[in-house]
Amino acid sequence: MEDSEIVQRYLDRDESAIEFSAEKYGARLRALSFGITSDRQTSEECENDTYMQAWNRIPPNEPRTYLYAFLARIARHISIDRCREQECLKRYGYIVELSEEMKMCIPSPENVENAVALEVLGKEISNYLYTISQEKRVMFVRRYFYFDTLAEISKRCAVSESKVKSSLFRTRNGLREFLLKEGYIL
Amino acid sequence: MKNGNELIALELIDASIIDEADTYQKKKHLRMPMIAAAAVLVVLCASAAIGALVFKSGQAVPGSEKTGSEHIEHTEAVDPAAENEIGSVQLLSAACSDSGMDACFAVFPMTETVGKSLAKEDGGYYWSVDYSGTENPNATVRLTNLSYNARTQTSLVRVTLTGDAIADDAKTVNISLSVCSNEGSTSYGSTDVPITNFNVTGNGKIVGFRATYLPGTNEEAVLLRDQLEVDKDLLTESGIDISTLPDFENVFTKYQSTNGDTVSYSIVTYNSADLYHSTVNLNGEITIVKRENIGAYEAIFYTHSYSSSATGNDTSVYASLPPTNNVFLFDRAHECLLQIRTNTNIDMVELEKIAAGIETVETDIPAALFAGGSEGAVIDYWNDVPEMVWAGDEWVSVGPTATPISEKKREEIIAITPEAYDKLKRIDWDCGDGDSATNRNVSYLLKALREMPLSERPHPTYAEMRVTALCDNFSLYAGDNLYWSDVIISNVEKYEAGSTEANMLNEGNAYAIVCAQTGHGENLQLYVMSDELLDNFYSIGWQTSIQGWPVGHRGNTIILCIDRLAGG
Repeated sequence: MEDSEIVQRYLDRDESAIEFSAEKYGARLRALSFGITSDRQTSEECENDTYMQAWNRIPPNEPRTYLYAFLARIARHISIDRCREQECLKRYGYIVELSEEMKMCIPSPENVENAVALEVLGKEISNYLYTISQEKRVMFVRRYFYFDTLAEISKRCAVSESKVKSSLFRTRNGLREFLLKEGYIL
Repeated sequence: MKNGNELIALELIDASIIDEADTYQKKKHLRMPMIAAAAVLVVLCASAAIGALVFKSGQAVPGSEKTGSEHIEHTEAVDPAAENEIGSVQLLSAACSDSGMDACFAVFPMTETVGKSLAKEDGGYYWSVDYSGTENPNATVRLTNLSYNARTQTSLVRVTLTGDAIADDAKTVNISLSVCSNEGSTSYGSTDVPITNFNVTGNGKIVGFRATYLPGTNEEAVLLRDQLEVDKDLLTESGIDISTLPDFENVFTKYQSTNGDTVSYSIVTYNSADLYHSTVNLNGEITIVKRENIGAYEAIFYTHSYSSSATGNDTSVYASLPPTNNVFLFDRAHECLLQIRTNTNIDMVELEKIAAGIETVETDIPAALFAGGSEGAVIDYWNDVPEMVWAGDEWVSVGPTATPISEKKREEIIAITPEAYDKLKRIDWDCGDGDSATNRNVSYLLKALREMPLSERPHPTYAEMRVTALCDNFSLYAGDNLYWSDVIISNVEKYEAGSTEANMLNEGNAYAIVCAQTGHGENLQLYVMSDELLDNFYSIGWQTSIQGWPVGHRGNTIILCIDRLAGG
C-alpha cells in the first residue's frame, strides 16, 4: 500500500492505518530501535509506541511521501529515551560516545532557543549533508541517526573501517565549519 | 546536559536523507558494466527529450547506433507516437546502479491545477507508479515531483527504484505513471527505461595522464604523486608502499588552466571504479561534433551550452551561454575516462591538439581502493559536487549517488520583477562611513527582496533585472553574513576603497552584480564588471570560480545588476 493511502487512513482515523504501517515498516522500525536499544523486547515496545505517537501526530502532519522517515524519527526518539531511562549500560555508553562526537559539530538542542530554531538547525544540517557525496552522507546518517557501528557501516558501504572513521571525522569537521559560518555557536 | 540531546537534533534532517541511508547498500561484486564511447554517443542520440542527458558509463540503447553530427535539443513536444493517448510519459534521463534505477520523466499534458498541486504536494493530487520489477520485499520505489511548467503543461517527476527492485537479467524496466486523487486516478501511460549490462569491470588501476601540450598559464594541477601522498595511510593499510612506486613525474589526475579569472580548460580523470559506480551527466544542449580514435582513446567531441529558463509556480532564470567545445576520451584498456572541458576561448582545433597530446599512465594500485573517495560521480562541473542533470526545467539530482532536491530549495527561487526593480530603485542607500555602510547597503537590498511576496515575483529576463541604487561609495567586506529570506548568504566579496573595482563603481563606469544562489551553495557574491565585461558576463560569471566560489553551477540562481552606483 502506498504511503499516501496509509496516511489517508490515519487522517480518516481508520485504525487499519496502524496495521498497514506495521506491515510495511514494522521490520525496519524494529531494526532501527534494536540498533539503539540492543534489546528485542524493548525494540518491540518502542515500535508499538511509535504507532501510538504517529496516530496522535497525524493530523496535523501528513507525511504522504515520507512516512517511513516520519515513523523512523519517532521510533528513534522513543528508543533513545528508553535507553536513557533504563540506562542500558552497553548501549547507553554507545550513545554517550556518539553524543561526544556530535558535540564537536552541532550545538546542543538545550542551547537552541526554541522548537523553530531547532527545526532550522535540522534544515541546516540537511543543507550541509546535501553538499557532500552520497557515500559520506550515508555513513554520517547511519552512524548518528541509525546508530550503526563502524563495522556495520563498513559492511554497508563496502569500504574499510578506517575509511569510515576518517570519512566521519571529515564530515563532522565539515559540518562544524558549515554551522560556524551560519552563525551557530558551538 | 543530557547525553544524547545532540543526537536528537539529527531527527530533524530531511526525510529523504533518512530514507536514502536506510536503503543504501553498496555491493562489491560487479554487474559487469562498461563504458563504451560508441555507447555513450548512442545514449546521447537516443535520449528523447534532450536538455537532460544522464547515462551510466557506457549505457547503450540497443539498436540505436548513430553516426555523424547530431544536435540534441530540449524538446517540449509530445512524443508523436503518443498523440492518440490521453497523456504521455517520456523518459528524460536515467541512471542505473547495481540494483536500482533513478530516472526522470516528463508527463504531459498536465493541467495547471493538477500540476501545481503535485508540485506543492498539498495532497490534492499525488503520483502513483507501477513498474516491472522483482518481488523483492526490500524493493522500494520513491516518487518525487520535480517541477511543473505551465507553459508546456508538463510535469517532471523522478522515480527511484532501490533495494534490488530490478531483476539481474532485466533489459528494461517498464514505468507506468498515474496521477491520483480522492476522486480517482488518471493514467498517463508508460515507457521503458533501458537497463543494459556493460562491461566496465571497475577492476582497473588508478591512472593519471601525461600531456605534451597544455597551453595557457596560471595552471592548477593535481599531480598523481600528490594524490597518492594524501592517501598514503589508506594505501599503506592496503599493503601498498608508495615509496616503491615510480615517481610519476608530470603525471596528473586533474589539470586546469586559467586565463585571468576564467578557466580556459580543465582535464579530469575518472578511474575504473568511479566509472562503474557513478554516472556521467551532460546537462544542457549537446551537439556531437565527431567521434574518432585518438591514440589509445575513443574520443567524442561535442559542444555544450547551458540555456534555459524555468517557468511554473516558482522560477529560476539562467544565463544563456555560448557553446563550448569539449571532449570525452575513453581508454578502454584502462577503463578510464578523461574529460576535457573548455570555455569559449578554446576552439575545436586547440582542443584537438590538447587531446592528441594526452596519454594514460597506469599505477599498480587498484582503482577500487579509491572508489567513492572523491566526491563521487563523473560530472561536468568544474568542481566536485553531487551530480546534477538538467531535466528540462531545472536541475535535478540523479544517479547512483543522487542527492534529492528538497522542496525548500525549489521554493527558494526568486526573481525580480520590473515593479520590484522600480521599488528598489527608490531605496535610499545610506552610505554612512566605514564597514557598516556596506552591510546596510546590501542589507537594504536584501531586505527589500525578502519583503517581496513570492507571488509578486514573476519571471523577468536579465535585461529587466537591473536595480539602480544611489550611493556615494560602495564597498563590501568579506566575511559578512547576510540573510536573505531563509537563505543564509555568506562570502561577500571585498573591494577595498581605492581599488580598481571600487573606483570603477565610484566613477560610474561599472556595474556591480550581485549573485545570490540558493540550493547547495547559499552564497552572495558581488562582482564588479565594466560595461564591456557585462556583455560577456555570462561566460565569465557562470563558468569560473571567482574568488574561489563556483558560480552558476546549479539552479535557483538569481542575478541582480546594480548599476551606476556612484551618483545614482
